[in-house]
Parts: sequence; C-alpha cells; structure tokens
Amino acid sequence: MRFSATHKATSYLMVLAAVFSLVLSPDISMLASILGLAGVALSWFAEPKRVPIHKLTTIWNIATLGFLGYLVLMVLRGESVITAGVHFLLFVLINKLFNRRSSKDYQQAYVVSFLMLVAATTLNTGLSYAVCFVLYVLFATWTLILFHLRREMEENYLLKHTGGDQSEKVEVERILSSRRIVGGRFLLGTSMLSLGILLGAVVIFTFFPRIGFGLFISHSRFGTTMVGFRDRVQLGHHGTVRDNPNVVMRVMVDSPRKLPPKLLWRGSAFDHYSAGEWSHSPDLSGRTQRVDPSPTGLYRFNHVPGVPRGAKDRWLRENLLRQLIYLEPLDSTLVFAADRPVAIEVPRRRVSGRPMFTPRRGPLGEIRGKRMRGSGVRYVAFSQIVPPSAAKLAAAPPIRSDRWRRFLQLPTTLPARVRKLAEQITARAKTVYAKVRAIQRFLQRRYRYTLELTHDPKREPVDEFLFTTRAGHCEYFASSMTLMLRSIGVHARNVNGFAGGAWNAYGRYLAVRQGDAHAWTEVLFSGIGWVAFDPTPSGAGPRRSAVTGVMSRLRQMIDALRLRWFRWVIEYDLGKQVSLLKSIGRWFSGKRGKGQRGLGSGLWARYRRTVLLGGGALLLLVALLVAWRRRRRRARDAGGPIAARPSDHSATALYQRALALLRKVGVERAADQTPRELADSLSSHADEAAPKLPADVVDRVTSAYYQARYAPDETADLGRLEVLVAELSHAISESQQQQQRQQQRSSERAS
Amino acid sequence: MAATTSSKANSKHKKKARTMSRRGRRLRFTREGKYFVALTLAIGFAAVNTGNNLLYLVLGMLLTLIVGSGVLSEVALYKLEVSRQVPERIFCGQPVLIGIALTNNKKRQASFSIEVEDMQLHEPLDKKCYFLKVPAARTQQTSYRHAFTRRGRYVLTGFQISTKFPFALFRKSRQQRADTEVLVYPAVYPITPPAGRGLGIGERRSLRLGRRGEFVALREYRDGDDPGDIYWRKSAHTGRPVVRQNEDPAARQIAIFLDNCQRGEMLAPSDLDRQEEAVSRAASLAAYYIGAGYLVALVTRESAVKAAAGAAQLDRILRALALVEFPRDEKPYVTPAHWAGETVYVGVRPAPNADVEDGAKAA
Repeated sequence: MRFSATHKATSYLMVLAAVFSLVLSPDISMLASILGLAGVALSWFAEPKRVPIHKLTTIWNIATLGFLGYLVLMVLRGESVITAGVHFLLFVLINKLFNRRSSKDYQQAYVVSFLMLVAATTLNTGLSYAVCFVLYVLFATWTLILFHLRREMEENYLLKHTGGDQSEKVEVERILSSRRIVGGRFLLGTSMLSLGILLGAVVIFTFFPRIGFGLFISHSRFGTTMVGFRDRVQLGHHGTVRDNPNVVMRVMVDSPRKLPPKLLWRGSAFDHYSAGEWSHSPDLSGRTQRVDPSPTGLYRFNHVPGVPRGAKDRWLRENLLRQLIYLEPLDSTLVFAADRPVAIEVPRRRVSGRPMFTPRRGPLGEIRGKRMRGSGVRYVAFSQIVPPSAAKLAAAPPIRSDRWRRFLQLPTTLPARVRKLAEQITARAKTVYAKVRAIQRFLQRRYRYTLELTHDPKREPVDEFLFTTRAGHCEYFASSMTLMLRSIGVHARNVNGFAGGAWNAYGRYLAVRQGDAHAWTEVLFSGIGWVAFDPTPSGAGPRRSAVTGVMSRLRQMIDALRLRWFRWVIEYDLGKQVSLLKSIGRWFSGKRGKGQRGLGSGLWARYRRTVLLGGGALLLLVALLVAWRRRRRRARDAGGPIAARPSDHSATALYQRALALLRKVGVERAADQTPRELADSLSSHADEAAPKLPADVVDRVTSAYYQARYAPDETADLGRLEVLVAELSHAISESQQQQQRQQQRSSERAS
Repeated sequence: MAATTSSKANSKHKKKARTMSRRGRRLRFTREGKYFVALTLAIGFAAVNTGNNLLYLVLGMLLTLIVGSGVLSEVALYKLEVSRQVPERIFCGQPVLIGIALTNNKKRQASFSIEVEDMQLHEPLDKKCYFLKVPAARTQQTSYRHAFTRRGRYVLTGFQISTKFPFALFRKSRQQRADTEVLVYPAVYPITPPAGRGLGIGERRSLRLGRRGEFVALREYRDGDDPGDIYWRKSAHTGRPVVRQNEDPAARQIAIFLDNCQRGEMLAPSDLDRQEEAVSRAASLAAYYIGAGYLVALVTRESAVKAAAGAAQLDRILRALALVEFPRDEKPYVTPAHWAGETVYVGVRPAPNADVEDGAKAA
C-alpha cells in the first residue's frame, strides 16, 4: 500500500475515533454531530492538488473568527463553556483537515483530536467512550509512527549526495508514494504495539494512586429523563417508556435464587389525585427530612413489618435482602430499593470521608439523595421483602385516626359510580385486607392489560378505564385500586417504581430497564404499616425475562460490559484500589478472603508453593540466559570484526554490479572481452560510444577489481572496489541527468 | 599542521571508546517530546485534581506511549552494525564520498528511521546518514560527503547510531566502536612546470615501460606482447597469461626537495599556511612529473622516497607528504645515494639560490 495513502487513512481513522467520542455524548446536538462528521468526510477529498487551498485561507480565517464570536455569544446566553469549546474544537479540526498542506497541518489536527478525546472524558462517560478510546489508541499508534516516518523522509530525503560538489534535491512525493515502506505486516506489528499500549494504560490506570482532591472541578454524568418519577405523574404516559430497553438500574444480590419472581423496586409515592394526575399534597410537596447515619454507616428510613423495633445494624445486615445497586444517572433524586426498604448505606469518599450523596427521607417514605441528580450512583440497600402473613393482615383493624386522612382524598370529579362499584365488589368483605384483596382480584380478573389506549380528554381517566375501555396499563390499574379503596374508607396511596428486571447471566445481576417502570398501590394496615398490592394482571406487566435470541444475549453482554465499565473504570477509587491490592496480596499468599470464592482455594492452594517456586526458577533461568547473551555480545563487540560482510560483497559481485550500471547506458561487455579490454576500449572511444560515460571511473573500477579479485586476501581491497562502484553509480546517474537537462534545453531552444 | 595522532593519543582514544561502550544508551528529548511530557503532566494534574477516571485512562495511555517509545527505539537500535568504506585517495579540501553500510542482524524485525553519524575522536561529524528502513538480515548502504580540511592521519573512531523511532518523542543513540585510519593527502592542483622543466609539445609521453626496471604492475597478455614478459607464476595461479610490466630505467628522473624545517619560535597562521602550501606544491609537482612519465623521488629533511614512476609511486610520495612535519631542527636532506637526476626545490623560505626557487638546483 502507498505510504501517503496509508498515512492519510490512519490519520482520518484516528481523528474520527476522537470525533465519535464527542458526538456520542448527549451534550453535542444531533445537528452539530452530523455537520461535524460531514465536514470531516468532505475534507478527505480536499487534496491540495485538486483544490486551490491557498485561495481559501482568508475565507477559512474569517469563518473561524465568526464561529468563535458566535460561540462567545452562546456562552454569554448561558451555554456551557465546555460545550462551546468542544464545538470550536470540531470547527478547528475541520478547518485543519481541509487545509492540510504539510505534515505540520497533520500534526495540528492530531493535537486537536487529542484535545477532543480529553474533552470527551467529561462529556461522555458511557461505554461508547471505551470503544472510541480503544480505537483511538490503535489508530494513533499507526498514525504517529507513519507521521514520524513521513517527516523524517521530508527532512532527510531532500538531499541526495552525488559525485559533484552540489547535492541534489530529491522529489519527496515519489518516496511518499512508495509501496515498499509499509504493508500489512507493518500494521499488524504496530497493532501489537497498540495492544501493549492499551495494557500499559490499564496497568497504570489500575495502580496510579487515586488521591483526587477535586479542588476546582467536579464531573457528573448526564441524566436520563424518565417519565413517572417527577413530582407530578400524568396517567397514560407510562406507555411511552414501556418498550424502552435502556437499563436504569443494576442490582447485585448475594443469593439471586432466593429472589421472588416479581420484585417491586419502590421509588416515588403520591397521596393526591386530581384530574388524572398524581402528586403530593401542597403541604408535603418538596419536603424532605435529614437522616443521620448510624455508627456503622446505615441510614435508616422506614419501620416495616417484620423488622423488630430497635433492631441493631448487624441484624439488618444479616436478615434483610442486601442489594448492591448501580443507578444510572437520572433527572431525579429518587433512590430505588426493593419494596419495603429499611436502610441504605452510601459509600464514602476516601479522602474527605463524606458520603457520595446525602440520603434524605421523603414525605411518603421515599428515599431521595441530595447532590445526586445528574450522576450515576452506587449504594447498598437493605429491604424486608418477606410480606406480612395474610392472617396478620386480616387481623388488622380499620384505622379510625384522622392522622391519615390525606390517604382518603378523592377528586371531586370522580363519578359516584366508582364508589358504588367498589362497594359492590367489597360487599361481602369484612376486614380491610379482605376488601383490598377483593378489589385486587376484581381488577386482575375482569380487566385487560394494554398499552394501546384511546382516551377521551373530557372524561375522568379512572372512570373511563373502569366502565368504558376496561383495559389499560399499570397506572390505570393502580390508580383505580387506590381510588376505589379510598372511596370505601381504606387508606391507600399510589406508588411508582420498577417491577422485576432481566437477569443478566454474564454480569450476574438484575438489569432493571426503563420499560420495567411500574405502578402499584400501598395500603395502610393498623399496627403493621404500609403494604404493597399490585392489581395489574400477572404476566402482563414487567417480569424477569429469560435469555432468548442472539440479540438478547448480545444486549445482555453489552450491558454487563457497561456495568463493568461503570464499576471498574468510572467509579474506580482509592477504596477499590486498596481492595484490589489486598486481593492480589491474598492471591499470592494463598489466604482466602472473607466471603471470597476461588481466589485462594482449590488447585491454587494445593499447588501454590510449586507454582511459585517453578515461576521463580523460570525467571532466574531467563535472567541468566539474558545475562549470558549480553555478555557474549559485549565480548564480540569488543574484539570482533567491525561488520559482518554479506556474501554478495565479493569482488565478482561488485564488478557485476558495475557491469549492470554500464548496461543502463548502453555499454555491454562482449563475451570475449576482458575487463581491462572493456575499460581500455571505453577510454579510447569515450567520445564516440558513450559521450558522458565516466571512462576514468570505469578504468579505476577495473583496476580495483583486478586487485581485489587476484590479491591473496580478497577482502583487503573490497572496500576500495565498493566505493568505486558507488562512485560509478553516482557518476552515471549524474551524466544521465546532465544529458537530460541538455536535451531539455535544446528542445526549448528549438521550440 | 598535520592531523596526526600520537600513540599516546591513540591509547587515550581507546580508553575513551571503552568508556563509551560501557555507558550504553543516550536519551535526549526532542521538542515534540518536551511538549508531550508537559502535556502528560498537565493531564496527570487534571486527573488528580478532578478524580475523573477517564483522565487517568488517558494519562495511562500517554505514559505507556513514552515507555513503548523507549522499548521500540531500543528494538530499532538492537543488533545494528555499521561499517564504512573510505575512498583510496583523499585529498585535503576536496570533498569525498564516504560509504556507510548499515547491517540489521535481527532475524525478523526491520529497523526504521535510523541515523548514523561518523565520529572522529569520539565526536560526531556533522554529517548524518539516514536509513528509512533496514529489513531484517539485510544491509543497506549510503554515503555522505565530507572534506578534510587538513592533510595528515585521521582516526574515525566509531559511529553514533541514533533513532527517533517510533514517535519522535526522544532521540535514543548508542555508539559503536570502529576505528579506521584515514590518510589525507595534501591538496593537488594543476601546476605550471618550473622554468626549463616543462615538456614541450610533442615531448609529452606516458609512463615508459621496460623490462629491467622496477616492477610496476601486472596485466593480461595482449596480442603483440613479448612472450618473454609473461609472468608464469601468476599466470599459472590465475589460469590466464599475465604480463609483468617494469619501468624503463632510461626514463627521466627528478627529485623534489621539500625544505620541511620550521624556523623561529612561534609560527604565525600565515607561516602555517605557507608550510601547507609548500607541501601541496610538492605534491602537485610530483603528480605532474609522474603524469609526464618521470621517475620521481621525494627528499625531505626527515625521510626520502626512492625514485620510481607510476601511480604507486605517486601514492608513496603523497603518503610521505601527508605525514611530513616541520621540525625546528635543521637536519640535512636525506639525499638518495648516487643521484644523477634533476632536482626541484620547494620550501617555505626562498631557496639558497634565490633565482632557482621552484627551479632546478644542484643537489
């Protein structure tokens, strides 16, 4: 492959990797991304030979200044400085690519692409950055090597030494078009180097001490806008996220097999319903309470049935479901946990000792995180997932206190037939629990789950669902149940969150997607507390899906990768670093860490001593071998010959080379002609046979050949012959060039 | 002053060369390399300050690029050997092409972007030979032009082999010992023969060969040659008839007297130039007379070259002139015994007989 074409191609690939790392971030608009990519693509064809670039320089300069002014205005109007800077970088890159005349322009484009890669570290923290980074390293290795060679060629191949006093300039373009410099093997070899660079980068990344101070800047990831987790929830919007496969939460549990088939992940709760919209009552809206952590770092939130009052932290850790949750960035401060969360634990920053976010208690039992919006977080939640027994719930008496009146609120627009329907359904029920179960069963059996809704805006949505459409999704079921319960005097509230999730076998975690968003009802039982009831027909809502199909498996693999990226790269900190070092230490010492599997066990524990001894012996052997080879080389360097003489450097071979040079200018040695006769004939007929032939050099070459060929020690005079042959080569090429110049001049004169 | 090196200096050079060999590699950052290191430090600071792990990843890449650059440059320099080919005749002030051959003794890896600098007295000459690619187990050759400004003996002590491969972040170099002694002849220029000594038109003749004179050369037998001139021993060795050529003792003889005596305590630069001019003139005269077929002898106050003709004799005279020095002691000329030829006097000061400077003078 041609050198210049290869260099250009690798340069563009490198630049594109950097551009993609930026345009895949949510901060760059679609329009800017398309324009940027189109600009880079078009610049490929802007070769200096084809396009009169020098005439367009002024236009480009004016355009750059104009664009800079526009960005300054945008910043003054509130646009982020980083975003504006990134757009400017993109423009400068396109400018450079359109105006690449020399290696310096390429170099500037590389610098800009690197700055883009650096800028992307703050704008794009997703897995796409990892892909772009790997590609960038691969292409940058190729590009930088080729760029170095190109510049060296331009600097060193400008001069060609000839036999005359003056050196001549050589056409660099011809060398840049050479196909012999780089090939597939070269690219493969440098790919191995890229692999080494990647490995090195990972090693340095892993062991470089994480002592970040965060003096000036704090970085955040960009949140995903989610329907259903804001302060107000409009019925009917759930359908828009039902098919969204984006993972919002990944949950790791100690024993996944013990999980119930349909876990509810509690998020927000609402007490006030009006005109098809759930919200907080005005006196509750926006109110959160501070929660102080226990000495062991647990933030306790709710008392739930099944947890003894005054239970110690240790009891909670040992008896409740422990969930390690990785929450993707959301535009919400909600902290999700399996239904009936009791406490959470927030990791602390290693240097400052402060928690990653400050948990606060919401008015309706929600958990919210201060300073959490816009960043992905990791925390541990402890939940009581074992529901109270039916007998216990059935024994709970009705609530008489006015304290909970807000959970009986009904909209004035709700038709009376809703209450009548509720009364009909619960006519035979004696207890609160019986009423709740009756309505739940009624809804589950008589109503159909659907996402395709036709809603009449003039009608009350719940009334329409119960009496007209008789089909809807979880929000309609939950809202209907809540309102029907309230209408018959049972305290209830509407809860939004997620249900179930897909088990990721590759990452061994439960992936909860946006499509798993769900709504259900919580009912207050006297002496027990709030208990969740899901009226949505089973099988219709979200559930744990099995791994089916190639795409599904692929999606799971990518998601597992994403989690690992998030855990081990984005969230990697001093704590993980210390843990990792300890694990490595344990691995070598053979000790098993608490709760660890496999690291210090089994075969390794049995053969550790043998493997370590064998490895040590192997290392020693390699070291000895290297030392021996080095010593031998030094000894050879000290006393050996200067250079090994290749076999084709015999006197005959050199003379044959001289004959080949002579053949180029039309001089052929006859079969019966000795070398001396050839030289003599050239000297005597110099003017006739070959006017510009350096006969004197041929004569000297012949003498040197005889001397080297017939001398007792052939190698003694080879050097002289070699230099003379080189001199002959120079002389012939020089005479040819002179001849060409003369012909050119004469033809010019003639014309 | 001739660039000769004494034995003491030689041993000093050898000692220094051994020191260099032990010292191994030299590393010098390029301008881009300095920027690169500064950028790496800046990224490192930003990573530590912000705690942005992706910046740590970028930092890891930059640091590994530096390390990888060091490893690859080492691989590029590994098992490279350089040799030089010096022209047979080198004249003072006249540019010559010195051949440089770079051999890559690695079995598999090619070496890219190698620069070779010849070294004189352990200092690199300002001439660089660039090799873009030397494939594995191959030799590549190039040459550089150099003009030695003084006659005498030079010692080219070795090579500096360096590379900026792969990323031009720094230049890594190592040195290789390779002592080559170079004898630089005094400058020879076309000369007008001294008065009365020039050959008139029609008198010019080439080297006259005879059968009883000193041996000149061997050549292949040609038709018309006297079979008695065949040198049977060499012919048997080569398998072809070879003729032995001898000088003609009847040819004309001339002795060039060089007055190589330094008079006075301190020499001004102009005196030094005049000394060199005298040596150069003697060399030019020798070249002229040998070209004209004379048997030429060189006589100085320290040594003498017996009269002979031919290219080999010119080499002998030039070699002697390349090394001739100007001692303070005014020694007598080392005149050949039974000299019956003509003489030419060349000196810094006027000849004893002022009217025959550069002319004939009785021995």
